[in-house]
Amino acid sequence: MSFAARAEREGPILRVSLSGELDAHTTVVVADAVGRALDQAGLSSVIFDAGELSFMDSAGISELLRIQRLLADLGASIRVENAGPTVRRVLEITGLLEILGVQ
Amino acid sequence: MSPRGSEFTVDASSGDRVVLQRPAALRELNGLRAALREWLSDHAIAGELADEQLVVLSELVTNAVEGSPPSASISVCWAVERDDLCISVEDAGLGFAYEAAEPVGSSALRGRGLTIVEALTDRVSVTVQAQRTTVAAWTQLRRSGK
Repeated sequence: MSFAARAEREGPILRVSLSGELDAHTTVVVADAVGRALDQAGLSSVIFDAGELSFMDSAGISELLRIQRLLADLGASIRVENAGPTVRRVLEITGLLEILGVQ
Repeated sequence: MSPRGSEFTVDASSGDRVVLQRPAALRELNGLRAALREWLSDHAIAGELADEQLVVLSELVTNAVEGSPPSASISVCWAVERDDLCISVEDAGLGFAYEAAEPVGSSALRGRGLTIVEALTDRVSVTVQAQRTTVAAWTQLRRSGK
């Protein structure tokens, strides 16, 4: 399955829908989708919708953490919603559920 | 992604072992996971256990690609050995030293792959031979309460 990240700005919130498989080859797609929005002013949070994310490994985690850091510098927050059991499991193993705002 | 016949080898001696030679490139990840997913399904391995093994494969392949020169190839193997599923990946060898997975601070950006592999499997071995590193991970298929 291919991977896609679709970003939509709703006022101060950037909503990013992830679908498919996020690995070391596809993280660049997330970086591109989020990168443009980070240049714009007034961003308060980025919400990742992982409802259609069928796979994520540690490379995906690294990318989310990298974005979390950029956001922290801007005073903005990150949130991950609708994560499936395996995505949640890898976040749990690495102790990042709280840091990445997994709901 | 259509593998050439020469790149796809099934060891007929066991029937339960798949060995693949692939370019040391991250674009191979998706196709390798698809191949493992299909094989697991053929072996009636599904659900969370199967999903977790796809993560294991992905971590091992990513590490092997990063530990290989760009034009080299890596060797990927999965097999049922007794009651265990074994996934192993051999890199092409840059001769880097393997470091056992250590607790990674929550602030570190990288280095979580092996932590995840160790958490999702029962046993991990690392073998270095002629500068090529092979990492293998075994997971018991008949877990009580699983």
